[in-house]
Amino acid sequence: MLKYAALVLAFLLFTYGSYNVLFVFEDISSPGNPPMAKLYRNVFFHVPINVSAFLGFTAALVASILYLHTRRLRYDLIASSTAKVGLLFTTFTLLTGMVWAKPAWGAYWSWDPRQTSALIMWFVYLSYFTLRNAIPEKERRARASAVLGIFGYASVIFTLLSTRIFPSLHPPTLGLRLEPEMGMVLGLMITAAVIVFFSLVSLEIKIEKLKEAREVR
Amino acid sequence: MEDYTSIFFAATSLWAVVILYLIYLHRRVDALERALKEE
Repeated sequence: MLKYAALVLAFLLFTYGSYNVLFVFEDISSPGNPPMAKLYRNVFFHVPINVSAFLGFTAALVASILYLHTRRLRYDLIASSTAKVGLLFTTFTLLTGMVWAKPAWGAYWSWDPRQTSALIMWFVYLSYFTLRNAIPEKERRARASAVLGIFGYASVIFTLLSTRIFPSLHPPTLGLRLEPEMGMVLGLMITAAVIVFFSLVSLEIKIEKLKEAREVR
Repeated sequence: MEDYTSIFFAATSLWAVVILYLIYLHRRVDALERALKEE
């Protein structure tokens, strides 16, 4: 049962956070953008998933650099596992963003610079896995995907900066001002998402290692 | 219904998918470990 401890902890943190978001926190003052008075609550669901997605792609970048430097396949395994979970979380970031955009902007999708850049990032990392599936030879696959893992990170930086470079309806990254207790709950929700992220990555790595062990036999 | 409940339901559904995926991965690890032992 100990192996499910991280999962239970994340679930408890998420439940506690959701309870506060729905039943404790009041609407905020948002005279410039009235729908945001209620809809700011999406921050507690959207941001933690997004932070974990960026964490995944950053870990993939570091592991890709380490692979090219050392040529050890374990770094390739870490890069592909973290990028995989990052891609899953980016999908969820796009979906939670769309559900929020409908009441906030009037449409699920409006080609806002943040939406567009996040979609480009999603396609870049989808192509990372298309590339990996196209190359059967391990060393060549690791080398090619490490190069894409490094250059593809430009799409992550572009997504982060998109609201500063282009006029966007999306609130700027790191421009959020919350009450201290709201900040604490957001921190707990981010912790829950990061715990789930590391659980998924460690399981993905374990499965690949077990598969390799079976192939060797 | 408050207009942010759709956001909550969407987010909760996505978390449910993640948790089910985690449980699936745990079961897959167990199955692979068992198969390795049997071999």
